[in-house]
Amino acid sequence: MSDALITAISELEEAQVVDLVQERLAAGADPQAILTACRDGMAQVGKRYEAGEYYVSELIMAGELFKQANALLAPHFAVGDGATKGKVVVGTVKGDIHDIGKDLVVGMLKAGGFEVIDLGVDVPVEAFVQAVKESGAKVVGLSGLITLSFDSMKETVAALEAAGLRSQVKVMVGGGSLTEKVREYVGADALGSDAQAAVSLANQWL
Amino acid sequence: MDEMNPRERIDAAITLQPVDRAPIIPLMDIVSPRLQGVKLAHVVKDLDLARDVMIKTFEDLGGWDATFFPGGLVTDVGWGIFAMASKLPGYELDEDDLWQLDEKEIMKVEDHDFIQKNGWNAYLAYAYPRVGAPCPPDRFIPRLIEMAAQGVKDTQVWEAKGISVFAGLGPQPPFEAVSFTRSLKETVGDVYRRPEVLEATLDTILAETVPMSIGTFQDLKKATQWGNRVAFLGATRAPFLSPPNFERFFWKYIKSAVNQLLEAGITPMLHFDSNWDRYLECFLELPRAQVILELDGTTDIFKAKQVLKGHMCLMGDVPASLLKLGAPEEVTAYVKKLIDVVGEGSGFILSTGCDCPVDAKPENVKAMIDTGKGYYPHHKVF
Repeated sequence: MSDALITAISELEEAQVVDLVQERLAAGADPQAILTACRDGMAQVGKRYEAGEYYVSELIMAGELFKQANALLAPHFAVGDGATKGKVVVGTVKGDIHDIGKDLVVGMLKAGGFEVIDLGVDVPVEAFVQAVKESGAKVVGLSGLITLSFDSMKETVAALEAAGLRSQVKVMVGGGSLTEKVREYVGADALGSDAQAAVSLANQWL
Repeated sequence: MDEMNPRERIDAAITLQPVDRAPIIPLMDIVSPRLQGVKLAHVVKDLDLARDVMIKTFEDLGGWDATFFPGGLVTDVGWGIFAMASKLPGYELDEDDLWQLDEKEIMKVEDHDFIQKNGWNAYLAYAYPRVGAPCPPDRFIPRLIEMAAQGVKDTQVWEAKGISVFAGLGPQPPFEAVSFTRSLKETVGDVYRRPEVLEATLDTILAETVPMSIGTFQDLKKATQWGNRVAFLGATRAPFLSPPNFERFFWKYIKSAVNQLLEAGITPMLHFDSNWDRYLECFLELPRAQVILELDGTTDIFKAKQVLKGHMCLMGDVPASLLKLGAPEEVTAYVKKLIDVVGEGSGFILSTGCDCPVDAKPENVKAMIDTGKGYYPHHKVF
């Protein structure tokens, strides 16, 4: 039964995804099983991206389908239901308002089974520290496109250190102009070249 | 080989003819105010100042082959140029913050219909009040006219100093224009949900903007000594599309725009940011030795040279991260590698990867320019 939904997500068939989720809910299927099928479909999208068959636009569209499926499923889950693989704090750092890459990472991490605390864009250093403290997240993702973001990333990592949290978290960075040299400058643990890389890193760390 | 003058050098590089050295044309509009101790808010509000800090920086660094643009691009009516909302220093941002494009869904799905019926420029004026830009809506069109006059004036000021202006803004590729104004996410949604509607909008934009751009170039040419050497066509999002969609929603429009510009005697410069590695072979479809591909350090320019050697001039691509974080000797080494590999057999213009970042180290900018002027090991054609 799950195969059609997995395939519909993997093939980016929007109408079919919505119909199948609604039909299965109406038929009394386990919402967790439906969610698992959606995640399996997203995993297939990720594999097709890694294989070079799918491009960023397919990741964006798949993220939209997953969001729609989630919206249909949400009322059927009580708060606290559904174990996740772990928590990840994500945001575009202070002074930078670019959100395309950050939103892709958030979507792919959610589809990958992680609970994501999305802090948005132009996120002050203290907000990252606060979010890690409150959530107990073990992974932080810092996004930025412009060169000014490198300094904000560096300051954010330093603030995590100053708050005594650095040893408890892994920090990944990503964005258009980032290189390994930038990662080193910032003091992050890893550079993610795309949204799928962010999922792989989170899977390694959590 | 005898020393060439800058205009000869640029012409030779574009047409893949021998050069005495690679021409140097960095994009310095954002870093120049910082290098001159002027706050970014001041150049956004004073376009004469934006041009003058560029001239001062050009002179302080001993000059190069042409100014990339005649003046500042960032103003209170950036919407009219980029079709995207923006946040500006001195308005939404602090006085010395960097301006940024602000991705929002300004164009709604029903606006496809508006554009197809009324045209792209009518849409830009119609949707302007939604943008929330600092210039009041009733001043939008007059301000754009002032900006056009400013471009003529800036070009004349550079030319009076014997320095030519390299690029003027050409038509915005239709897919990029829609994705800027509608948001990338919604535009991708259009690709899957209403491809025919999207295509009709893109057709409308192309049909309107290319002739308009050609007219602007011809007018500038009449009003100045040299006019603009090339038309700037910027793109950054199209390589996110997979092959059939890339061809249908982006590439066919580029081919058409390039051919129309060339027929009008205008050289297209494809300022293509982000990663085009998987689409490099497409550029072989464009006419040989008449088009420039400018890369920003994200595409592998060395691979681009392998694919496009003998076909088109490449331009770039000293990366922003290197200019900010590197040491001058690292910049020098990178520039030498560019000239050695990408400059081999001509067909190369040394430039920054997109804009020189506002926080580039001054000594790195100098290293880039000085190395470009002093290093050229090739004196042969293909």
